[in-house]
Amino acid sequence: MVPLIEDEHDDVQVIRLGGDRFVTTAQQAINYLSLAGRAVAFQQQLKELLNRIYQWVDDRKQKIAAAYIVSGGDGITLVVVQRVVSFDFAFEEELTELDIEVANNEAFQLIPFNTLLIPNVGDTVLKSFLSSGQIVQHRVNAEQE
Amino acid sequence: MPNKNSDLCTARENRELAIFLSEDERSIAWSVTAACYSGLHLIEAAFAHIGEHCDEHSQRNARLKKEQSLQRLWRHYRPLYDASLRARYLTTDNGSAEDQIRLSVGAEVPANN
Repeated sequence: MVPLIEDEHDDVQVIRLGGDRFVTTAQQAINYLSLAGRAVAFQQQLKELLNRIYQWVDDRKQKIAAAYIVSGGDGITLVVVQRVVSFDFAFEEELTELDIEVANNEAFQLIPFNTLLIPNVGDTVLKSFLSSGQIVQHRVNAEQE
Repeated sequence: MPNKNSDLCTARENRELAIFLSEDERSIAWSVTAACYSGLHLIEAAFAHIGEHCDEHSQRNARLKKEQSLQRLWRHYRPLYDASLRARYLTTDNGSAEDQIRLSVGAEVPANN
């Protein structure tokens, strides 16, 4: 979209690449541009965050049966499934440190991030547990959705 | 908006409930859930002390993990919060979340389940 400011009014004529035109207020146009700018920044931050998560998961593959990145109303959640049924409290502390690191990294400020560790469970149980959000990425031995 | 004393009373009641449910392993799943809410109300009491309040889990959690002075609280509260999620949503193919939680902490799973 190409915004053009015309006349003495606070209106903006927007001309789409296909030639279609519409008018909106200058403030709305500013909002749209701001959103578009944030969307670009968000995509870049998400890419960098995913790389950080992949690295974290890869460094701990011996403990992880599967890892999912789930998007939902609260942002994105890294769900880590242990290889073993017995709950690993020390591993949970490592996940807490990742949680705090990401939350305080300026490079990821646009992305609300959460983490959750669960013991090894069957696929049926896991799918019902993850069903509240949309699985956007999977890693390690996770099933492709 | 609840005040500090109200939050402290609720935290105390939830703590007592958590202890009761954990005695004789009555319900590990609901014990950790009550423990989580005890922690939540302690945090809200601390917020109320400075005239603040969080309405939602996501708002509260984000604040705890982002503010350096609160991160120590988050390190203690987060395991309770996550445990309560597992306790409510993790089921087994043939049993309840309680069974799964019992398995994960090495507690005996009743044979009649």
